[in-house]
Amino acid sequence: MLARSLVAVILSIPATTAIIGLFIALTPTQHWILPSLLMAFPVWIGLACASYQLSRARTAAGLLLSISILGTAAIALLKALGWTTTV
Amino acid sequence: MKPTTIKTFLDVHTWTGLGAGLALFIAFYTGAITVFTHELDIWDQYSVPAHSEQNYAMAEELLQRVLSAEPASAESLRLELSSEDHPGNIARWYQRLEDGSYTSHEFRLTGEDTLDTAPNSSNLAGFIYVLHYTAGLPSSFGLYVLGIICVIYGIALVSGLIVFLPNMMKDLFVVRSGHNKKRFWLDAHNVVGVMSLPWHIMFAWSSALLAIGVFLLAPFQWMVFDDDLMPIVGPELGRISTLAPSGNNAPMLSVSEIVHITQKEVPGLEPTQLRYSHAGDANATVRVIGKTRTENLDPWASLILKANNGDILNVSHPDNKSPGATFYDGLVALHFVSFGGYLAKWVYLLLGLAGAFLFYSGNLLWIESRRKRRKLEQLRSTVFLARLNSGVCIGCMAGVSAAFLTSRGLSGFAERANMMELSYYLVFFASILWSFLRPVAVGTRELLLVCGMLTLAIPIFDALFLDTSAVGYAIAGHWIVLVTDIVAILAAAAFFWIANTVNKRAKYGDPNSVWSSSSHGARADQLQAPTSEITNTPVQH
Repeated sequence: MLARSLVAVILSIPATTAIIGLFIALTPTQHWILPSLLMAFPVWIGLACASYQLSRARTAAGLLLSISILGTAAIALLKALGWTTTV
Repeated sequence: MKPTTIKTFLDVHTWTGLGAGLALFIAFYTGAITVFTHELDIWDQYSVPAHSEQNYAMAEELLQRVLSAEPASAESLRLELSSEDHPGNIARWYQRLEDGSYTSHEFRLTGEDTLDTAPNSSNLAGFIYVLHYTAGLPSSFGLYVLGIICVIYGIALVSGLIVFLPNMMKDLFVVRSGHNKKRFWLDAHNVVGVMSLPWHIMFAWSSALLAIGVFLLAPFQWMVFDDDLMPIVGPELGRISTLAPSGNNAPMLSVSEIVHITQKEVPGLEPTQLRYSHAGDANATVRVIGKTRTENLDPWASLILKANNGDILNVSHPDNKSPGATFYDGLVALHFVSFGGYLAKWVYLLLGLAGAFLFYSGNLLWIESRRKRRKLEQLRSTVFLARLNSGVCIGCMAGVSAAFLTSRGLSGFAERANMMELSYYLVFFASILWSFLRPVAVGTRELLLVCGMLTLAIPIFDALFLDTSAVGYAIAGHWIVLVTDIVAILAAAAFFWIANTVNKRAKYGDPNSVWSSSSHGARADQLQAPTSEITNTPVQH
């Protein structure tokens, strides 16, 4: 339970950042930045709880890390292509 | 939903509840009282000599005297304006020390127009507020610990809801009291939890933002915004950089002129505080904070203006804030109940106490779930949690009552605030120690009786140490002392009633329980019943 909980709570942080960061990068106006950032807590808790649905801690860790890496890569790509005005 | 899913979330709910429950009990009990922090501050100051109402000219006089006596305070000085509830202007200077910490200085004008630098000995409301967000741990460390606890709290809420959902229609608002104590505590826990769920979600969310908001933003700073986040969201969060000092002196506008300019800009503004930066410099700024007449959740507005010519640099008003600022300030306003007047405050008080009960009952449920029904000797873990639960929860409540008494009883002493804090911690830790020294049922009953007596002593101390009686104050239009006394009497009655219930269960309840007088070395003479009444017979209901 401890290992699963550490995976759930800690690895949900970069995954939350990637999901909300990607949303902010895709929005056209800076007015959405602060409301999106304020959603970090419920998204974090939601991801942490959802990860308990997976049968193994390793699977949950893999999925959360994948979300983090893919999301961060997508943000970097949007920045590199100049397709975002908010980040 | 699969049974394995329910089982997983039940485990999550159990362990998150156990991990965070005691700290959350303290946060909710003291938070419920903090709802009335303004009134509590007034209650605490009835016994100190009252200051008379002071005007803006006297505020200006105070400002100039402080700047003259303490030139270093010019860097950052707060001027709290006199009001009906808090008569007398106060200047506060948070002096930055070499180690980076701050020390607070307080200044007032006395009747003879001299500077009074004695710190206010009345700090009960402030101390209970600090307990609310630190649970009594050292200040900033405690804040971060409570922030992490908010995350655990959030997970406990979601997991608890998932566990409850399959039987929701059957168990909604049903409390089955009687033979099965586990069922009773589960129903009570569920009813309180479901009824106040939206409020708990708001609290977990807003508390996490307030306690560890900086840490929540930090990953975005590194991963998304390339260190450019604060210039974007800082102004929306009210963090506006002041002008750099020029090094040239320039006269500042008077307090009344500054208030006049702000009220012209924001009609209906009632200024409560002026925050000066680099006072006396040509680039001095003043941030005026005040209440507005608005229909918004958050009534507070602030303006920043140049102190020497009144040029307005920034206006933050609830009616024209950005969506992000409205969202953030709305969450903060919901947390601090800065809306809805006294009705909302009383609802928050009840919800706060219900929240404290939620965590207390969660621990009782865990103890009851692991009860060995056919053995007198119970598991060490359940005995340990029963002792800790009683010691911490009752100790916190008794400690708060002791703090009330000390603050009232020592109102004439300079060390009043320190003694008040000391009394809380003494009672709190003594309660925990007592709960581990005595049999569970006996210790719990005794702690509840002490808690009840300390709470009942609050109106007695009011009668002894105040010049006017509570009824006399009420007749004069000041209801706070009378209402506080009535609430204290009701709370004391509740503590005595619970103590009696614990005693009954110890005597007549199932002997195979941590709450029985028969287990854990409880002697018959430690209870109020004759020895013959204490039996090992099954439950008699």
